[in-house]
This record gives sequence, structure tokens and C-alpha cells, in this order.
Amino acid sequence: MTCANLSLSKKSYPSFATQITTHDRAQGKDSLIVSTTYEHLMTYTLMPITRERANPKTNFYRLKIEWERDTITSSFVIQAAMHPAYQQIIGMGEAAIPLILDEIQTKPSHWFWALGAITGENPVPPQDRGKLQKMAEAWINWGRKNGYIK
Amino acid sequence: MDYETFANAPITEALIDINVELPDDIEISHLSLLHERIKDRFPEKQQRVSFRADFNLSPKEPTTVIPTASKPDGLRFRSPIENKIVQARKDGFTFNKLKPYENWKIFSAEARDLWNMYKDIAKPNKVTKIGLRYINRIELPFPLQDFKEYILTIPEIAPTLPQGMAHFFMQLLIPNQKIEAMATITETMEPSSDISRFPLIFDIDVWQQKLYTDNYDRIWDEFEKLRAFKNEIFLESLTEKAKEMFR
Repeated sequence: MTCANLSLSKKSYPSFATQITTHDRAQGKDSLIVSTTYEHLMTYTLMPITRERANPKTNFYRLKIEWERDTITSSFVIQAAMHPAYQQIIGMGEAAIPLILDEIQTKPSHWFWALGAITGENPVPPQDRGKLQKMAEAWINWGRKNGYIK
Repeated sequence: MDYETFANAPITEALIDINVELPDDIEISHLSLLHERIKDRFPEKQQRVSFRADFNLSPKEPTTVIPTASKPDGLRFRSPIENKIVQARKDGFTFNKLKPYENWKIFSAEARDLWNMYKDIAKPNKVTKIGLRYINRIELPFPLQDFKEYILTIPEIAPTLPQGMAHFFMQLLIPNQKIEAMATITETMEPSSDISRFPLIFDIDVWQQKLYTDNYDRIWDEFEKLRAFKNEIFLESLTEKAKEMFR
């Protein structure tokens, strides 16, 4: 077996994440064997910490879990935003934007500081500041306009 | 082009999958209109739910996957008698045919008919990806001296190493530049306590990531090309001895 010459356009190639999601389109028992084995393989592959850090998505979720765990009882936004894991997410730069927007679409939370720090923007109208749901909506609209949410 | 058809083909599931982008105002409730049209054939209606999960990664602990959110992403209509499923989602359409599979002509005609109804109701802005996937289960008899007696697309162990294999999972992505498509070939085995058989899952998913913004009928010409590519992978991967089991 030789390596194929991959000269199709870059967009033709799926990310791993795309591949995972395609498995649920199939409905039969044999597809379940394939997807379960695949998930085990993914877990096994992601276990080494160096691989996890090289992948923005897994890096983001590792930091998010750490941040949420340590700040769950804190109601102070500034204290939460100063947490090292939160700061590392800001340090990820643009790669973190779609992941944060995905988060606030599911559950509006204190991600606005990070979005502001990374993008240098603030799409929240003055009258909506402090209103979590409204702030999330403003950022989601911003994400759509700027191509981070499809 | 005609292909050999097998009386005992090992197909356990075939599916035609079309990814789309819908207008913003199309909600899941619109998609239930499709059920009104097909409920004689597909009486069971279920909501589809997509799950999100966080990977919990730690150098000290085993990696775990934590479900964090779920949301409805479409509807599923099932024909329990004929083992067929239609999935109408906000991101696309899928038609699944579980065993027994009859033939491409019947399968693709029904998929096309159902897609046309989905398209009329959901009015997609564009088609972004099309795919054709066949999942085969090949029960290889034991004792098995060499995989290559039956199948040629398999993992290979260096000849100087022990050749026994307790389990495996292999996934290959093979481009086909001529038709601008890719094949995701996945092979694994079902864990089995029965030592007289070796259930090999041979999953061929051929797909094309291309934008169609009008004249969606063209995708059916592309499905014919994908089918030819899928058949080539299947037929060229199997030996005559394997094909004999399906005749």
C-alpha cells in the first residue's frame, strides 16, 4: 500500500469531528459496532496529553472543564475571568472564537470577556449589558455576521 | 454499467445522505409536513436528538466523555415492516434501508422520491455534501489462515511478527480525483464469543463535498458516479472465494 497523492481541494477533507458526526446517520446494529469502536479509538488516541494540547477543540474543552470546576461557586465575573484556564482560552486566539460561540448558543455564560479580549469588539448594545441572554444573542449575531457560525 | 448482483449480498444497511443548508425560518415543525405525505409508508415518527459531549482529559485519570447538552435536530420516520427510515433534519436528509436490501434501482428511486418531497418542503438554499454508504457484514469462516483468502483491503502485520489478531479497527480515506470524491473505508470486527465465525464489518462510505445551489437533479448523476466508485471498492477488495459466499 502506498500513500495516495491527495491533491483535492482542502475543503474536501473532513475533520475528525465531522467523521464522528457522520456515524449517527446510519441506524443499524452494524453501524453501532463501527461507531462504538471508533469512539473507543478516539478516546484512546486523545489520551496522551501532548495530542490533546495540539488539538484546539480538545484543548478548549479541557480548559473549560478546569475553569468551570474551579469557578462554579464564584459569582464574580472578574475573578472567573482571571482564572489561568480562562486566560489560556483567551491565549488560544481566533481558534477559540467558534468554540466559545458554540458554548453560548447552548448555555449563555461568562464568555463575553474572552470574546471581547480576543476580537477587540463589543457588539452588545449599552442597554443590554449585564443581561446574559441578550448579551449572548448579540454575540451570536456577531458570530453569524463574521462567519464563525454557519 | 452493469455490476454483478449477489443473491446473498452481505449488505446490512445502505444509506443515501444529502447535507443541506436550509433557510433560517425553516423549523423542525415544517419538516413534520413530510410525514403527512408519507405516513402510510412510514407510520412511526420520532424526534431526532443530537448529543454534545465534553472530553474529560487528564494526565492522571482515564479519559472520559461527558454528555453536556442535547437538542432536537430533526425527525425520523420509520417503516418497521420494510426496515426503512427517512431522516429529515435541519442539516440534511438521509434515507436508510436496512437488511434486506433489494437493488440500487429500487433503493435510489425511493430515495429520490423522498428527497424531492423533503426539498419541496424544506426549500434548501444549497446542497453541501452528498454521500452513499453501504455497511456489509461478512461472516468469514474459521479457522482462517489468511484474511487475503477473502478480502484484500486489510491491515497488514510484518511477516516476521506473530500473525494472530484479536481485534482491529481500520479506517482509510481514499480520494478519487476523477469524480472529485472521497471514500471512507472502515473495517472492524464484531466481538464474538463464537469461535467458529469471524464477523467482519466492511463499511464503505463514498462522498462528495461540493456546492449545489440550483438544479438539484444533477446530484443524482453524481450518485451514479459514487455508486460506481463504491462498487469498485467492494468488488476489487473481495476475492473470488468471498464472492462465492454471496452467490
